[in-house]
This record gives sequence, structure tokens and C-alpha cells, in this order.
Amino acid sequence: MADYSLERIEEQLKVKIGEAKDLLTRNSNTAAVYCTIALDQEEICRTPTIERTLAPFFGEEFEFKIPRKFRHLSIYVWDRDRHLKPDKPIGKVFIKQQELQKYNNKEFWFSLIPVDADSEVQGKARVQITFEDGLGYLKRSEEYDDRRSLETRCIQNDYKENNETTNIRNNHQLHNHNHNHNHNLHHHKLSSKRRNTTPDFRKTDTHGRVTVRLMECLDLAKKNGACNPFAQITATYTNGVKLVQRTKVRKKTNNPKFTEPFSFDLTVNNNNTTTSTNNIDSSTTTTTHSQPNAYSIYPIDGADLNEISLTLWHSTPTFNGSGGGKVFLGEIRIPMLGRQQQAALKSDAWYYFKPRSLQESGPPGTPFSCPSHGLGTLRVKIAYTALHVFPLATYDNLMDLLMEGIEQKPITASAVHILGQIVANKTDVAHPLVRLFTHKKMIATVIKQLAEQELSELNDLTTIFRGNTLVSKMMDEAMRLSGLHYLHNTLRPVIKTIIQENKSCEIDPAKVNNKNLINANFFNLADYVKQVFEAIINSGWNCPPILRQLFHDLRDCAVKRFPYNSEVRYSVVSSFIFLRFFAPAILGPKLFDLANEPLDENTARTLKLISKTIQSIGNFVSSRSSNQFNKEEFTGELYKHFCKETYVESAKKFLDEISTVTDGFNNNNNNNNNSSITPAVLLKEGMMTKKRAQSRKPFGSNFKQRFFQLSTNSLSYAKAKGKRPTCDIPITEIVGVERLSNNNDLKMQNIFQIILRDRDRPLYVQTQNCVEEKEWIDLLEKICENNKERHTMDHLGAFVNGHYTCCGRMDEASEGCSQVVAYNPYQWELATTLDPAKDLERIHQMIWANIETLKRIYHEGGERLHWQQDSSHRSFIYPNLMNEKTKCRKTIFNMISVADNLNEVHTKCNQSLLQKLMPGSKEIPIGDDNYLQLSSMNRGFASKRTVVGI
Amino acid sequence: MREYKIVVLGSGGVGKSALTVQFVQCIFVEKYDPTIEDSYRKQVEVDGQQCMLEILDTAGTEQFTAMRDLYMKNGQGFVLVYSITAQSTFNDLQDLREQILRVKDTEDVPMVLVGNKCDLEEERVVGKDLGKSLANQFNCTFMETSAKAKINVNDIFYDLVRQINKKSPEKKQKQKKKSLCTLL
Repeated sequence: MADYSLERIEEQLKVKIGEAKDLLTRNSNTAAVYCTIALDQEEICRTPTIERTLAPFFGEEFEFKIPRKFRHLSIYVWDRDRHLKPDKPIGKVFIKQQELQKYNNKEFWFSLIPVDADSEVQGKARVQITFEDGLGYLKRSEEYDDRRSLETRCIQNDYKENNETTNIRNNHQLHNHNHNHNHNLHHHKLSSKRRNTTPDFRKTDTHGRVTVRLMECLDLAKKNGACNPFAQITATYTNGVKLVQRTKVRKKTNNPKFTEPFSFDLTVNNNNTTTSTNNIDSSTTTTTHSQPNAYSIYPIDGADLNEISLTLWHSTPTFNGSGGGKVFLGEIRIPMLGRQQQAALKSDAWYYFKPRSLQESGPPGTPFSCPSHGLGTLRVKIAYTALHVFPLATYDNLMDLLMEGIEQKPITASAVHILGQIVANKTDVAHPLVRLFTHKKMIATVIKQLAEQELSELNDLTTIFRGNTLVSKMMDEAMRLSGLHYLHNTLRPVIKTIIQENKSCEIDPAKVNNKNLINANFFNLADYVKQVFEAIINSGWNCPPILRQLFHDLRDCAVKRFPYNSEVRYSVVSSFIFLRFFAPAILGPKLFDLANEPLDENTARTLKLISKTIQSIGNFVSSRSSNQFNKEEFTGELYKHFCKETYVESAKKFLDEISTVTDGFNNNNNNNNNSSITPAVLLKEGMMTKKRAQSRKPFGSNFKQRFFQLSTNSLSYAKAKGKRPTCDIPITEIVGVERLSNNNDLKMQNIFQIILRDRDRPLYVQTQNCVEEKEWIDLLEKICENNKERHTMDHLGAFVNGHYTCCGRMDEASEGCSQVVAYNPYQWELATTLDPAKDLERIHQMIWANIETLKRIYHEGGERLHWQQDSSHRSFIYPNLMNEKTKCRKTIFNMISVADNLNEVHTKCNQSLLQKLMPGSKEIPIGDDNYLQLSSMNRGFASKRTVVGI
Repeated sequence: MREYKIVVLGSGGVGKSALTVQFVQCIFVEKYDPTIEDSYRKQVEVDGQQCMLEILDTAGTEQFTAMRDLYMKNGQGFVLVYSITAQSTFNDLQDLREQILRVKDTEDVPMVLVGNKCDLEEERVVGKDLGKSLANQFNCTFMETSAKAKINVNDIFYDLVRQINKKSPEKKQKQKKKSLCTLL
């Protein structure tokens, strides 16, 4: 059985910010709006700023792995820079972590909610509570540690919060707050009395006291970069009386410790409201009498302690004599009404801070906008996945099941083909499958088999591989996975030039005011197209071997299927390499990491025209009919310019090159030579703060902002982007990378150190946020791994995925290669990005999500099975022949049982996790919704389990 | 003259360009050339009124869908095309329509559902009744067409113009108001 402690959680978030509407800010002439995405309070990314509109269109997509625990995702909408003032938040979208899954890659309009200090909360605190009853001995309540009662209390706590949220609208005033409180209480008491669940607690608690200690706080939010926290402890009694005590201010820390004890009576006399027996330093106790006692049910002999709340404030310094204020940082409310609630409390536990009065967030995203708050609405698409991934060996059965089917006939009975039929979104299936088969070095085989099957059903040659089928989707993924560096090497320089020069290239007369410019524009455009086209056709031999194998196989299949068609040998390859690879990359360079900066309208149009022309040339090569027809009239001249014999011949040569298989790895020397000549591939770049190792100055004195670039050759940094690097470290020098904990000597967050060979002191680097930090560290770790391997073996590269990255030999014991060459960037990149265990887990989740459908397919027969899913018709087609059908059913049976077993592993793992985790511990503070989700999920798992068996 | 922004959508190879070019230039494109994005302008008379149609012919290839958002935002009427000879092209339309509604932020969007290639009756996979019921569900007009045989091609665009007119009648008053403002 798997060791559950080895389970890891992989969280990924993709957020597309579409557009905003009806923003409530300055008028449209001066507005300049941008959005930021934040995990808790930490900004992760931001959109470009859109000016002069209250309905800005962003169309920006962000995707990243989540490196740490977080509680909520916020998307803030900002209005930028009003005359040197700080940017003003217009509003935000606020989603709890456990609610993210609901938005499952669908677009929603979110009403913006106000951004105010009351809801901007983060951090947790450890609270000690001791009760002392009237007889004078301490009652420790931890003996009463019943997990279930705690759980329900957590839920009640949440419920209560929500309840209040709905009651309190736009009003933070204390008396109103109390009013509602009392009102709730009133009900609460009455009902509890009626049910008689609370025994006569008043008598027993008459003279008791409770002592509260706020031991320490962690990760409080910083306000304008500062945090000078103090705490206010408030005891609320059933008659609305509030007793307030406060601590001293702790300076310059967001992890303060307050150890002063605060004591409160468990009951107060109604008349005696000034009880203040606590005299600690400067701590003060104040009493608020909020309301006439109209709601109190015990007007005569006093009231009971109802709740203790701890509120954290940031004390703002005094300016020019004006008094300093305070900013809300967070609040913990601990209900203590009666014995039962008191007994359920832990004497020492961690709590999450909660917002003071979270505004009702309206419907949490609706298909259509509803202007409920009047701050505006934002259209957002969110795809969040959290995978619990086990060690690779756990998935052995699933892996075998996926692999075994593809070499047997028919492919329609294989698990891969069945998956392709049952999962609605082909991209979702194709992504993990391609990565897995690439890892297993079987990608060419599986795509060939699937393509043969698809072609056997195709009659119309013109739409060859045009549909969104499993084959075309898998080819897309394979080209992206294995061909990204090839794409970058081929197109990056020319795309960069085009973006920088920003020449006008519009040749549509309907879109140009000054018709005289068209000639000049035409010349510009033709020049660009020529540059791009030449870059592509000269790149043939740089095309990665795997892709060449794939193109070769597809061409093979197509020629066999349509032997009398002379065009198909080109059209089949061009429909992938041009239509699905180069043309989309030119059109949307940001999507393929070819450009980072936002494109202006002119550049976008230029790229669109180039992309169209390139695609047309690619298509023209394969289907030259005598009369060339141009759909858009104005493109006629341009296409005529390029559809000449020389261009056609060179394009044909290129298509031939990329579909020629160079004999296995014998040709690898050639490859290696190439890779040592080709420029280093850029892996990552960005601004970071660094401190050089040689410095003798004390910590924190000379951190500098630098522009870092990590390529397959070196790590370098320069004073700014585009400047000459001031430091260039070969990556072979990098021997270690280490994350520094947040409580490091430098008192800085998101900081790590890079250890360099033969140097005593490391290089300290600080990133802008946790996501950046993870991405840099992940890359650097892979480099270190590779470097380490280089030293322990004769090979210069590492043995990854069944071959050496240096020489490609497939036998691990083969003698080392002596060439001193850089990594083959392509293989290097694969090694850094593949994660087979994660991909297998994704596939398991897909099977599991469709388990009921699979069972129906298994049980029912016939030619095809129809079913309804998310309001769309879906169908499964069985193989025709009887023995094939039997095979197909057998595969389905195996899929179900493998998924069943894996699910059991998940359930057991969750159970053992739940047993280990204690609510109230530092890891699972009280108020942690994830814990509740986990436990409820587990119940879900268990109940589903019983339904499964065939 | 009023301008109408029309967007033609659908999977790869269903005949979006063939329909559009047949309508604009009265030619059937024999050669298959996957579109990235083409735009056309054509002046027509619908119900005695001169209209300028601006037709955006889009990519069926999913690689280019990043731009969908923008043209859905700008478009006023939408032609959803599938091929009666390919079931998957029919299934793909559900998501497209949903995306249009969300981007437009309303249930009521001028739209025509089109089953193309109706000349290829012998290769038919998607029955006419299926098309009709989907149109019912979409609450939009339905027609089967053939760009090759020139069946129902013009009707698609005329119907869409009428739908747009019905939904948002031309506002002449607004222009008057504007001129008043400049006077002030």
C-alpha cells in the first residue's frame, strides 16, 4: 500500500479576465483601469492598464501553479494614478479557496464588492483560554476534546458569520452591530431553551471567570508596508454589555506576541457594568452599553458571557500633531455561551482571522451581470484544479492499462480511444495523454494508430484532420510540448523586430484613410512576410526528431489512405505545421511565449495579416489549382507576390525535411552539433532583487533590483531589460538552490539563495511573489540536479526518461560521451516539464468523473449509446465486430476497476490525513474551511465507493 | 446607412467561408483554405432599407479561439454553422452559443443556426429534426443551406438583419440629441 505521507498536492489556477462594465469611478475620459490577481493579500499578476473607458476590455489569461496554502483568491480592479496619489481600488471579486472549483472553466459576471480594511484580512493566532469557576479551581477543557463537536462548531461558526453578513449591510457602526447581535442572540437563546439542550448554566457559572491569552499571531496583513499591531479583547454579554480590554502596541512586526492575560467574569450584574478588575500595564478596560436592555431576557440577576472576540488593529503613527488612527487587521470570535460551548473550546488553539463584516457578495458569479452593488461587474473565467498526487508506482496499473492497448488491434478497444470518446473536452484528455506517451517514448506510436483509425472513416479529403478530434488535439499538444523551443528559436527574433518596429502594414483599402499609404504598407508587409517565411523554411533540420517522426507517420497514413492524390503528402503536414502551429503563434505570440508585452492594435493587425499570408502560402503549396482565388480581394496582390515557383519549391522542401525521419539516434551527432551552434534557449526572465555574495556589508544593506535571465547556458542579470548583463554565471556553476523560510535573518519574504561552485557566499535573490519564487526555484533545482548527475557519471547530461540528455544513448550503462556540449535544449526542457504521476492522476480523475457513463457503456450493448451531459448530446460508438466489442468491454471493465482501486487509495489517504490533522493546530486553525471541505469530501468518497462495484 | 456587424462561427471545415463568399461575391469556393480571420463588406437592401453588412468570417481551428472574445463583444448578430455530414460540428455549437451569451451578457442575441452542406443528402448524419430542436432550445431561427447549390444562403443574412432591427431599432433621436449637445 502506498505511503500516504508521500502524497503531494498540485494546485493550478488559470484565470482569464475578460472585461469590466459599468465601473463606478471617475468619468470615462480620465479613467485608467487595470486588474490584479492576488492570493490572500499577495499580488501575483496584473493586467495592462486600459485607459479612457468605464468598460475596459482586457482579454488577458494568467496561469500558474500555486506554491503555498492560500485561503482566497481576489481580483482587484484599480483606477490608476490620480495625480501622485496611490492607485484607488474600485472593487474586487472575492472567492474562497474551496469555492473555486465551482467555477470550473466557465465564464461568470461578478459584481464587484467594496474593498475596505474590514474585509482585507489574513493571518492566524494562537489563543489560550482557561476557565476558573466560582469554587476557585481551574477547569481545563481539553479533556473534552471531542472532534465531532469541534467540527460542528466550526460549521456553526461559519454559518453564524454568514448569517450576520446578511444582516449587516453597509454599516460598520458598533451599535448597529450590537443590535443585530442581540437580535440573533435572542433567537438563539429562545430556541436553545425550548430544545432544552442547555442545562441551567446560569447557576453554576455565577462566579466563574475566563482568562484569555493571545499567545502569538502569524502573517498579519501589512498596511502600506507597515504593521504595528495591537489587540482588543471584547467580552460580549447576553444583555448587550461589552467589556473591552486592549494590549500595548507591538512595533514593526506582523508576527506579534501578546502574552498578557485578560480575565472576564462569566456573568455580569446588569447594574454593575463597570467591572474592571484587570489592571495590566496600560491596558484599559472600557464598557459599552450599547442598547437599552430591551432584548435581554434576564433583566434582574444579570447576564452571561456570550462571546469573546479578539480584534487586531494596526496603529497608524501620528502626523503633524493629528492623532494616529487604527486600521482593522482581523478578528476572531469565540462563542462561550453556557457550559456546552465552553466545554467544547480548546484551551490552546490556533484560529484564523476573519473579516469584521464581510459584505454580502451577491450571487457568487452569475451567467449574466446584475448590478447589485453599483461598483461595476467583471467577467472572469476561472479554472482551478487541485490534484492529490501519489508516487508514480501507485499508478502502475493505470499506466499499464493505457500503454497496453495501443499496440494491439483494434485501437478502438484501447483505453486511450475510449477516453477520447467519453470525455467531452478533447483538449482535457489530450494534454495528459501526450505528456504521458512522450514520457514513455510512445507518442509517435499512439498518434499513428489513432490517425489510421480516424482516416479509415474519412471520405472527404479536404477536411483531413480538420475536426477537433483526439488526433488533432494530441498533435497540437505534442507540437507545443516538444516544439516550443524550436518555435522560439525560429520565430522569436523576427517577431521581436516586428513588434519593436511597429510599422504600418494595413493593406485593406476599407481600413486606410490615406490611400497613398497602401503602397508603402504593402511593401512593409511583404518584407515582414518574407522574413517570417524564410525563418520558417530554413528551420527544417532544427525541427525536433519526435515531431519529424510524427509528421512522417501522418504523411504515411494519409498517402496509404489516398494513394491517388498527389497533394495529400503536403497538405497533411502543412495543415499541422502551418495551420496549427506557426500561424497561431504569429497571430498570438503571447500565448506561445514569443512575446511578453501587450500588443497595440497596429501590431496585432500586422501579425494577423502575416499569419494569414503564411497560412495561405502553406495551403497553396499543397493544393495548387489553376485559378487561385482570393477570398478577401485586397489580399490578391500579396498572395500573387508569394505564390511563385521559388517560394512553393522551398516550402515543399521544408515540408519534406520536417517529415523525414533521420535514422534514430545515429544522426544525433548532427543534432548535438546543431544544439551547440543554436543560441541558448531562454528559460525565464524577470525583475528580481539580488544581493551579491562578495559583499561584506551587513545584511539588508545592498539589495538591488536587477533584470535576470536564465537560459540553457547561463544565469545573468543586468541593470535593466535590454542592458548588457553585469554578471553572467554559466549554469554548470550552479550547484544548489535553497528557499529561505519567511522567518529568515534577512526578514524578507519570497527569498532564496543560489549556491555557486567554488564560492563561499551564496547569491541571495528575492522575487516579487510566491508564484515567481516557485517557478525560479523549480527551474534552478532541475539545473542543479542535472549538474550533480554530470559529476557522478561520465556522461555530461543526465539519464532522464530513458536516455541521456547529452548523447541520447538509451542504455544507462553505456560509456560516457566525451563531447563537451551544452544540453540539448529540447530534451532538457522535457525533463523539466514532465510529471507522469500528475498526468496519471488527472486521467484517473477523468475516468472517475465518468465512471457512471462507463458502467452504462459496459452493461448496455448495441451500436452506439447516447446520453445527455451538461445539456449536450453525447454518444459512444462501439466497434463493429463482435470480438472487438468484447475487447472493448474488457478494457472498460479494467478501467472501472483501476479507477475504483485508485479511489480507494484516495479515501484511505484522506482518512489517515484527517486522523492526523487536528483542528485548532497550527496547520489547521479553527475556521479553516479547507479542513471542513476535506472531511466532507471524504464522506463523499466513501459514499460513492459503495455505488461503484460492477 | 445603418451598419450591421455579423459574425460567422462554427467548427473547422463546415463551410463558413463558403457561405460568406457565396453571399458576398456569389462564387462557390471549390478550394479549401482554412480561414484565420477574414472580413467582408456588402451593401444589401432588406425590406426596402439599405444596409451595410460587415461580415466577419472566423477560424474554425481552435488554436485561434483566443480572439473569440473580442469579436463576440463587437458582433451584433451571429451565424452558427455546422455541417450536416459531421456530428461533432453540431455538438460543438452548444459551447459557442453559451460563450456568446456570456460575453454579450444577455439571453437575447440575434442568431441563426445553420446546417450547411444540405446538398450532400446521402452523407447526412445530423437529421433536420435535431437541428430544429436545437434551434428551439437556442430560441433562434434555423435553416439548412448549401453554399455549393446556393440554397438559403442570402436568407441567413437577411433574417439576421431583421432580427437585429427588431431587437434594437435604429435610434434617430439619439443623433439629434448629440447635435444638440454640441450646439450647447
